[in-house]
Amino acid sequence: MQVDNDNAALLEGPALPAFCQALHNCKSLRMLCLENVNLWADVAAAAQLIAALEGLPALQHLSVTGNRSNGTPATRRVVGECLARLIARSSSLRVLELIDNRLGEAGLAPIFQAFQGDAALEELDLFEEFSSADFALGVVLPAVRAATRLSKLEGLYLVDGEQLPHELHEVDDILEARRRADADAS
Amino acid sequence: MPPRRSARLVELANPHFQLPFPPNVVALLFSLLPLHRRLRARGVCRGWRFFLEDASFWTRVDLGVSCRVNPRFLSDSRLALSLLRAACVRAKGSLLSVDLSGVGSIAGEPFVLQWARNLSAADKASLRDLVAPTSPWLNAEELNALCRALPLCRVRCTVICTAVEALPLLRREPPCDLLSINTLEVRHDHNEGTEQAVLDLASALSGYMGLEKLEFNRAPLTTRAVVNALEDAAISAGIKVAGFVDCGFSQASLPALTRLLQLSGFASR
Repeated sequence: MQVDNDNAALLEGPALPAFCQALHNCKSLRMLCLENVNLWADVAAAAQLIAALEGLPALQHLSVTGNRSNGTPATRRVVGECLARLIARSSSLRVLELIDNRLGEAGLAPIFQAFQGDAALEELDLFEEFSSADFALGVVLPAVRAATRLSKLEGLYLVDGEQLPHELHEVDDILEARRRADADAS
Repeated sequence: MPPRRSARLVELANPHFQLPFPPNVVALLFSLLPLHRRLRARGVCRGWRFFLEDASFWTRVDLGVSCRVNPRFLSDSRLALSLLRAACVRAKGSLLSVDLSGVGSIAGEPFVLQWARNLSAADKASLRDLVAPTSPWLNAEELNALCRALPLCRVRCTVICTAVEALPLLRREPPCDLLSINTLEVRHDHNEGTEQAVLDLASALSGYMGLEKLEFNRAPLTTRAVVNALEDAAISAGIKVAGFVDCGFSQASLPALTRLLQLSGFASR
């Protein structure tokens, strides 16, 4: 299912619990795109919805593109934790699109920490998120090393003026090697 | 004592001479080859060329998503067209089915339309099934032209059109009486009576089978009655995948989306 609602809020109100329950029961759902639906305006409601996806056995692709998190760092952290739980608990999710969500380092940190477990995620699109070199070295690089199935990480840039540390080339090298291995295997 | 014939002469006289297995086994092996390899096999030796002259090897052309043809041929529709034409020539007017669902697109007129227009009269008469490429989506005008070019053929394709244009297609009115749409994108047209057009579409949709994916782009699905009618039709038609882009949904639309999710097998593809 794909819904793009031109930034008008949709997933809220008294009908939301029934929608979440239907999502939770939709065992054949493979792809869900909830784009530009102002998802993070009500973090509690969004958390309820994301939690409904955790046990879906067929869900492979989730896009929440265009839902900007404009709250405080604490709110962004809650959004990140909510997505991190999904990454950690879903055994089927392969692709997660967080394009233009503006989670910042506060929201990204829990997401990358979720890769320390046995995450199934193969592709993560963060366009366009910015991080400091310290964050990239201290959080992103260890996550990429640990996330053995991750082969595509896109849209994460260093904040203006920061130089790419030499160590960060390892991120590209690891991902490229995994993509090559996947191609060879197929 | 008659002079001994050279191996070359024996080969010429008996085209099966170099076949490593009985002809029926070889025929089975050739039929399992992807199209580009079967065409290339004709160049191996005279025996194989003779064997592959049989039109039955070329009556069902598979350039579908699982066809195992080299992706180089599928990603460039000009190369795909060359393969397709080569097969059609060898089918000698007995072409039966063509699956082009694995072929990519280039800008300009859909290549399936170019090909269908130039097909021989015999192939047009014999062709019974065509699966068009999934991209580019055909608009109503192109679709009508395709169905007119192949009046005896069941055509399966992806379509983009307005709600009003979709009505004769869903009602299977001539020349689209053998048309089967697998994906339909309905785009908004400001000149159409919007709400009634969508209600009419829902009515036509409810009796239509075979549609797997339905998308609405900028269609004003703002009233509860319209959304409900559409969701009822989608459920009745057995839609597996649905998309709604800029359709003006509100909280009131959530129950209808919920019902869609509750549909058995929804989004299983």
